Amino acid sequence: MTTLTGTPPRVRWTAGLIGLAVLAVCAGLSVAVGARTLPPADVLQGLAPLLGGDGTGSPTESIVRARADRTVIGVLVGVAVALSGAAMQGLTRNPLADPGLLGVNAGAALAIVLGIQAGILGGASGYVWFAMLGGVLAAAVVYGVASLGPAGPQPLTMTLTGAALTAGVTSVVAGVLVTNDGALEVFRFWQVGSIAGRSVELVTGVAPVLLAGLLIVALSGPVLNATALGEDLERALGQRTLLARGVVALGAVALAASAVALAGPIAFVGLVVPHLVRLVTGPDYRRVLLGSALVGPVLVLATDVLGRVVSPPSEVQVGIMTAVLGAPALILLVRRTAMR
Amino acid sequence: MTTLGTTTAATRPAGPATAPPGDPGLPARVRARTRRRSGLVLTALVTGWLAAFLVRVLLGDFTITVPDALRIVTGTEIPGASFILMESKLPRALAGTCAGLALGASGATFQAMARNPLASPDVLGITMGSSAAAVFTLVVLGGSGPAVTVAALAGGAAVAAAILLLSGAAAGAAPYRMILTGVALAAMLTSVVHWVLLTADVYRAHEAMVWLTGSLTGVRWAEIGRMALVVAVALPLLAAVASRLRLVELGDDLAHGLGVPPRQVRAQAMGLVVVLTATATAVCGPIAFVAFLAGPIARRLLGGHTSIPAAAVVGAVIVVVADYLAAYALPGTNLPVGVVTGLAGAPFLLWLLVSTRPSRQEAA
Repeated sequence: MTTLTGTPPRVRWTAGLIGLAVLAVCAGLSVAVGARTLPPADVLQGLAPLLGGDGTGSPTESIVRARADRTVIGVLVGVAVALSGAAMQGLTRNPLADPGLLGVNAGAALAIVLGIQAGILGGASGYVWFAMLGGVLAAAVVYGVASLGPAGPQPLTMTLTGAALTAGVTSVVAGVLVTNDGALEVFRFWQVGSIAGRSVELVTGVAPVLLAGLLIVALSGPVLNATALGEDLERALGQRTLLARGVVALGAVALAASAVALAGPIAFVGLVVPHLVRLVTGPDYRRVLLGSALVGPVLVLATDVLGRVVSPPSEVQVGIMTAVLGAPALILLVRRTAMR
Repeated sequence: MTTLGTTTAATRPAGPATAPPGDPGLPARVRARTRRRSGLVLTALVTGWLAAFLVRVLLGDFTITVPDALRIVTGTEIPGASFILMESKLPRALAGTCAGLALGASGATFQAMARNPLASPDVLGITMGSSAAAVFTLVVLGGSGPAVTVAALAGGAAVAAAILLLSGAAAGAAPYRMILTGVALAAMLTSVVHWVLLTADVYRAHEAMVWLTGSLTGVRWAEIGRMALVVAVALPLLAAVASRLRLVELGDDLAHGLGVPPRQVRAQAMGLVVVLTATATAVCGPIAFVAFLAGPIARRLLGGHTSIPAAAVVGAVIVVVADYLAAYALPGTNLPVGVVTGLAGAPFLLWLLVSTRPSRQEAA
């Protein structure tokens, strides 16, 4: 296993500590920065009731409260999306796997729109189960269709199937939206992907699914490492991890679906983060997962803060910021990758 | 046909060893058969399109008889029927035909160029480039008509240029990178469209949403004229370029050896594809999957041989039939045509992926 070591431990520890520090700074900025500039003293005062102190009921307090909720959701979404992306890349041995590219987001969108149309969506916690169901179904369809081909699930086939499924689903979604202005009014705010204006209570609805997904994926390092060896070598070593891989896939989809349920589709974080992490940790998936859980929330919080300051007094949603910043990253990645 | 085949074979330096002396030559016979099949398929397709066109124009929830239709077209005013034919049925059928021709031809060209049956202007973001520019013009700048057409054209061209430059496809064939770069750009532009929709008021958002789905409702005669003009000029040009593109498909080195400059051919084909796609998109919106489906369907009908005219007619048939279904399948609702083509595309994609030979995927 020496080949999996990558960078020396000292570098990894330093990188990990720097990552934690950056995450703390981002979380601080996320609470402090916004359309309304608050002096640090007011922010601290506003945080007091959240930490068990006495509140004064001032407007500052509710602003800080909203930003704190937003930060918590940003962290959870970042962790979920990044871990899900890392696990999907490992499972499919596809450096370009990402919940968005593989159709999970489109499936979730379809389920939510149909739910709104049928009038059976019970508030934000109802979204969770619809997004979950739609996401799981879409991921199953993409993987299934891609593996039906004689060449098996190739990276290119999966990417294209995901893109085509997204295109098809989008037209169904559009069909509902053009005939139902009420649904359009709700949906256009959902589809951009945003962590603003969500109450932290939303998390309790997602929590069981999110925790199960987190637990499974966090422990999936060895399975992903075995998968990375390739089918032939794996079989030669006597490791048949088919069942384990199925469980991990379920966990990855659970994470992706909970993130979509919490924040709407957040593009590219799941794709880019594992690659950034790999630059430091090397290919060992146990470390890639750990690093992704750290860098994911940093990226979500940082782009979210950036989205708040680019066009004051309004803000650009985090899902748009990640797509606009993420597409160039993907193109760079494709250019660097030697495969054709 | 046979004499033509014989002379072609005679001018060839050497036939394959399997052809016995005195035989007109196996390649010649195969070629003659292929040509006959192409002719038959094309005739059948045009007939099919004509049938679909007539059904679209004459039937539906308001039936117009053939003599009535002829009288209306030649200038007689029939109360009720005139309005429905001239303002709804005929423009929709004509716009659908033009858009289908343009999308079908450009999709097939793209698939040949990327050497992948799954590539199409939809997947690669060219349509999305047109959409983003058009929606931006519609919603943010408040433009309409020609301004939207120009914006869609510029958006599509910008994405095509970006794909070629960023993937390095201008320097050599790099289909894999080209596809993935296109997918990335499409995702980015999608989020731009979402943002524009979000900032618009709900009336404008609805308008943009209908356009984004791909719809033939409310197409104006002037727009049809513009689109028909572009199709009439660009389609024959594309068919001409495509014959040389088939040599480029064999590989850049081989194409060079045969005296065909691959970069030039690819750039010409790309330019025509962008003009056709963007014109159709500007008028009707991005009608999902037509560009994607037409090429493979034509290829199957012709027995694995790419033909731009056949793909174009297949595209026209798809759009006209889908528009008929969109208008009358669900009584009381008038769905945009893009919903029907999108729904029909998904199962077809499944079949295509399952039945595509691995060698072809490997080649991509």
